[in-house]
Amino acid sequence: MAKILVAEDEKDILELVEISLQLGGFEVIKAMDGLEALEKAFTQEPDLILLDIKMPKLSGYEVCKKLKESPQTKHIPVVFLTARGQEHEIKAGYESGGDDYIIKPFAPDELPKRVQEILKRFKK
Amino acid sequence: MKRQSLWPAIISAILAIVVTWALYRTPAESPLHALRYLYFIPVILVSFLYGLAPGLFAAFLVVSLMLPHILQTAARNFLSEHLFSLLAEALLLILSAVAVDQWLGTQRRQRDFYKALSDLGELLASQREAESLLKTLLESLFQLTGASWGEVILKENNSLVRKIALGEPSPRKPFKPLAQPDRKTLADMVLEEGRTIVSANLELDPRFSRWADTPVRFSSFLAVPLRIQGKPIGLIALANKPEGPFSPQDVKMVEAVISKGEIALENLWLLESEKKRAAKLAALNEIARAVSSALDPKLLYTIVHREISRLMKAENFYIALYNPEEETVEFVFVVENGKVSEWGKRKAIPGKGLTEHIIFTGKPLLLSGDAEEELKRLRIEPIGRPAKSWLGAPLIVGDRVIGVMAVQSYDEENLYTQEDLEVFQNIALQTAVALENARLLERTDEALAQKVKELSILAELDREMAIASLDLARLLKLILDRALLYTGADAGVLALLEEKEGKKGLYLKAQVGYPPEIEQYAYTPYPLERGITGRVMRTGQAVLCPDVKLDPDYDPVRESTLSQLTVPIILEGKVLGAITLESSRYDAFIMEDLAFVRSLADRAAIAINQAMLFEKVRQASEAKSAFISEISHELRNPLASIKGYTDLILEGKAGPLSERQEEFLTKVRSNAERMQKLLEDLSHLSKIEAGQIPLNIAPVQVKETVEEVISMCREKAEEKGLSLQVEIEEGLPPLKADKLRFTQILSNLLENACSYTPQGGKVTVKACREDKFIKIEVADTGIGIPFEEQPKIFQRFFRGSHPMVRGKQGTGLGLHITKKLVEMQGGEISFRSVPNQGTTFIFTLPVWE
Repeated sequence: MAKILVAEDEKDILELVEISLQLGGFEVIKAMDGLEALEKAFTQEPDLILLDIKMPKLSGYEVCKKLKESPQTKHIPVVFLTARGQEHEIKAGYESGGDDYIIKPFAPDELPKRVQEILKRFKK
Repeated sequence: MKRQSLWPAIISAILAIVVTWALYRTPAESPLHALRYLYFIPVILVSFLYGLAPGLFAAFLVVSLMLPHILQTAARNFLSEHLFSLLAEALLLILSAVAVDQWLGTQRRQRDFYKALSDLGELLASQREAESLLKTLLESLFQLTGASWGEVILKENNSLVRKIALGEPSPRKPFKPLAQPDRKTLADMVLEEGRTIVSANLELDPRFSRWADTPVRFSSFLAVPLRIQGKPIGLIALANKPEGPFSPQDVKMVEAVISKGEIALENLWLLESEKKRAAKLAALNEIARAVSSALDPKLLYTIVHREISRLMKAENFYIALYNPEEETVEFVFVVENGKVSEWGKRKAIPGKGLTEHIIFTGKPLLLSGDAEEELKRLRIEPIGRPAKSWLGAPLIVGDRVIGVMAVQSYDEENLYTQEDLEVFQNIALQTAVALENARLLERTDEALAQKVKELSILAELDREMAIASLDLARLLKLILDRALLYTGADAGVLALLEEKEGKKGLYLKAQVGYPPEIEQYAYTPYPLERGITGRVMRTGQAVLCPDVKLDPDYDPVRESTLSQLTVPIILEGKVLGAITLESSRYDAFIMEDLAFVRSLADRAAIAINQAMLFEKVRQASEAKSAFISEISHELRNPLASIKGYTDLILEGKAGPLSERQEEFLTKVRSNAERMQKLLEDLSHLSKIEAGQIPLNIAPVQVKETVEEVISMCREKAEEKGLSLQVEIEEGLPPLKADKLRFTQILSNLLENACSYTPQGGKVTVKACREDKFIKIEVADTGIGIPFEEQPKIFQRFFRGSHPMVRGKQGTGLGLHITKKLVEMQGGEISFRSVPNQGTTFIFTLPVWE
């Protein structure tokens, strides 16, 4: 069972993502801010990380940068959760080392499908 | 001259002899005998009568004193042999009386002549005109010599002109000396040799040819040169004295009288030339004044004509201007017989017309004497009424002949002299300068009007286009450049009152011609307490300073400055800044400069105001856009939660739902979705309006892109049973657009078309080239737009009233955003629609070139 680290400061959304992913058969590790996400990425070694952009303490970009700088975590695919119409976020996400993005809001049954796809791609 | 008769002298002498003789004959004791010595009383009487000189009187007296002795002897021996000697004595006395009388007569005549001469001198000196003077002179000579014919000939412009002629038959006006081959004419001889020529009979005199073409037969003849300051200026001829030839005495008298005449004439001419010079100076002065003031040409022509009229006859006058491009002469000012007239314009052909002659030779011309002959000699074919006298000068600017100025007379010959020509030429030069000035001024005016217009158009344009930035800096530099150009200043600076980081003062916005140090004032303000500029800022009053040394406030920023002009920039009573112009000359600025710079300052004020307003609007718009962006982001997350959990429940992930619950939750979800769309559109629109949408302009292939968009909609359209068609012209050039935005426009229009076309309908996308644009049409066979709603469809938040529109989710922002996107890329959008038949949206975008 793949482990997904989800970093999102909005509690309701975090839970929604958690439920969606669990329903899709993933194990979910939750983080409420950037620092926590970074810490859990290093300690729990998830298979994929879903990062919100605007977060307290450390922004999603900064978390991603740090992950990609470390040999221990740089192989983990990082997927940004971006809002529709904020194209610059996608661009900035790729620049900070992100591997893909998912546009919010997403339908609960869509999310696990997307995550599955990305994982499959990275295994190759 | 009156001659005193000799008879009283002779009678008195005989009487004296007879009385004395008779007295001697009386006896010695008779008392009468004692009276015999009184015989000399009549002698004294005669002497008195004739005004005898004392010496002569003495001689006469001695002769007379001898007489008694002679008489006594005669009486004693009376009447013997001594009678003869007595008679001889008497005869001697009479003869001496006659000789004395002769001598006395000459003396008197001479005295009378000198008196007459001096009277004549006075008479001549009192003449105010040369003509009347010469006439008086000739009349006096007639009287003096008894000549019955005479004339005065003067040299004028190298020809001889008959000025006065007296006697019958009177000669015609032109003087034509009769010349014989190899022989000088008589007149030439007189003038060249400067001596008097006398002939007893001119007709028969072998030395001379005939005098002139005159219907007179000459007998006695006398020609005397007329000189002024030693130079012969003409001659006086007298002829036909009835008494016979002119005597040497006549010649002497004539010469004496003429020399008096010469003095009077010289004085008169000096006076006249003095007067003329004064008039000339006045005229030139007047024209020079007209030149220096900015005049309109019509006024200038009038002044020039008025001044020329004071100097010479100018009842027929004109000014013609030459246009080298059109090769025409235009008669811009014409006076005919003292009245302003019109001659219009004509093609300038070399060799035709005097005006053209002047234009092509660039030299003045004086026609006097035989004008017709002169024209033939110059090979000029005259145009219009031939003039008898003509005087014209070119109007020259630099080395260009810009026109011609001329005076003429149709009936008078020899009206103008060489001297007139010189004055006329001088006036023509002045006039040309004045005309050129007026023309330059006009052109400068036009050019400035054009530039100012340009400026205001620019400002207008920038104002209307509330996009990007209104380039105030460029505009201020432009205004300063115009100020320098117009005033001819050597340096200029435009500064505005601002407060930056708590430092208030004049910040430099544009400068020309200063040392680089002045640029510091772009960052640190120039204090308001300093310089003339500071004073202008405090008082709001412009300062025109002809000599900066005289102004205690002057702050030398630029070394060579001698005069300065500072004009405040004022908007609604508030001093916003100042334009300062400096010159390295004294007194370089005039009131016109001040007025002009003031109008530029007004423009600057408007531009600054616009820029400030624009900046405020831009800031407000940016704030609004940031706020909307913030809000929509903040609203997005809760909305995502609402939608996400609703989805979960609807998917049955939270347990089974009743039909009613499911129905309600579906409504919650669809409204949440609508709200999401609204938020997205709002955030997008605010970005467009704040100019924050960066355009990535590149060549965009129309066919390719249209097909991509179509493929995205195809599935949805086919589900609905709509047919989608594409008609794209072959070989279309690429578009000059942002591909993402172009896709957005197209998909918005396609989505609408599909949404509002009922089942079985048709949606067509067409593209074709139209000049420099590509026209793209999205046509449907849908519900159409009611006519009353058609004007509103591009408005924000407008939604149609048709049930099919109401039944769909929409924000009322789609078409508004689409229109903005088209316009952002330099295109236009329009539509035509008939309710229940369909709608066609047409938009254009520029071709990539």
